[in-house]
Amino acid sequence: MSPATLSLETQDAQKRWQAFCRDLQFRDRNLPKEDAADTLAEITAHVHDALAHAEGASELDRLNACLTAFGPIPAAPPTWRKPLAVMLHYLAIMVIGVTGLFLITLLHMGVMDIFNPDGVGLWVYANGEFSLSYEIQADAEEVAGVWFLPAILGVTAAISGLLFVLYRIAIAPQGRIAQWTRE
Amino acid sequence: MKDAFQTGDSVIDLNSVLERWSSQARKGYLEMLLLARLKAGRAYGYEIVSALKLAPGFEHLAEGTVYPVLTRMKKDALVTAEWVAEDTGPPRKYYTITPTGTLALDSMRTTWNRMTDILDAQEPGR
Repeated sequence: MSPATLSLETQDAQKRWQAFCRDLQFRDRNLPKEDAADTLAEITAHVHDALAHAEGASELDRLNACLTAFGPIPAAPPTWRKPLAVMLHYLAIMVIGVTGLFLITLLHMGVMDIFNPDGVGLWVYANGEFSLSYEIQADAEEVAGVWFLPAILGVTAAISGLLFVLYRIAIAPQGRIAQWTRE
Repeated sequence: MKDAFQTGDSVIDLNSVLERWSSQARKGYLEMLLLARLKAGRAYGYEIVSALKLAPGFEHLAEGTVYPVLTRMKKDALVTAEWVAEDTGPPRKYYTITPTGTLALDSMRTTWNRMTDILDAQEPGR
């Protein structure tokens, strides 16, 4: 089927028709290309016929009357949404990957703290700087003490929870952002 | 017609009851009406929709809802479709009822008539 076009004279009506076609293409995005083109051609013929019988002061009014009578079509998302969603999707993958490595390190420190409680910990230096270390640090004081392990486990659990939420939103197939990337 | 009825503590909105029934009924009638229109001769989308809108309950039909039903009927081999180029305007897709579609319509009509008979039998004096 060759692509059908609707002959409209005014720019307002042409814009309205293009917006309708965009919504229609969004609605039919999962159809095979041929079926979607077939549907568009058939609806174009329908609107052409309906326009001949429609009443309205202007061409745009008549077109609007025809499209209203045709019935609602889900509106296509704004054009910026898919690129933004793709960017957020991959950013989330990166954040989860990098933070995941950090979590593995924290867990490893927690395990090592059992074997070396004096060396492993959170160390604060005289100049106010601090570090997580596996060994006793000169000119530094270990601040967490016996609470280091519970603190590590708590922080790991909290960050894991946040990463899981991020995964559900941005990476899981049913997540909102992952759905936007498929639009 | 009275719009609302008091039954015990609750008020029944008759219009909403009828609207719900009518909405369900329309879904059931749609294929039968489409086949009936096509039995009268092949027709294109707008022509079919215009004929359908003459039926009670279909006056405010969302025209776009007819096309998915026609597509389904085509898949079920009840109708065939053919594109025809027009002298003016875009090409139109014409639908034609198939022998299977005619059989289906006859069967639907029989069911419809039986339903009417049963309804009439409930109120013999009417």
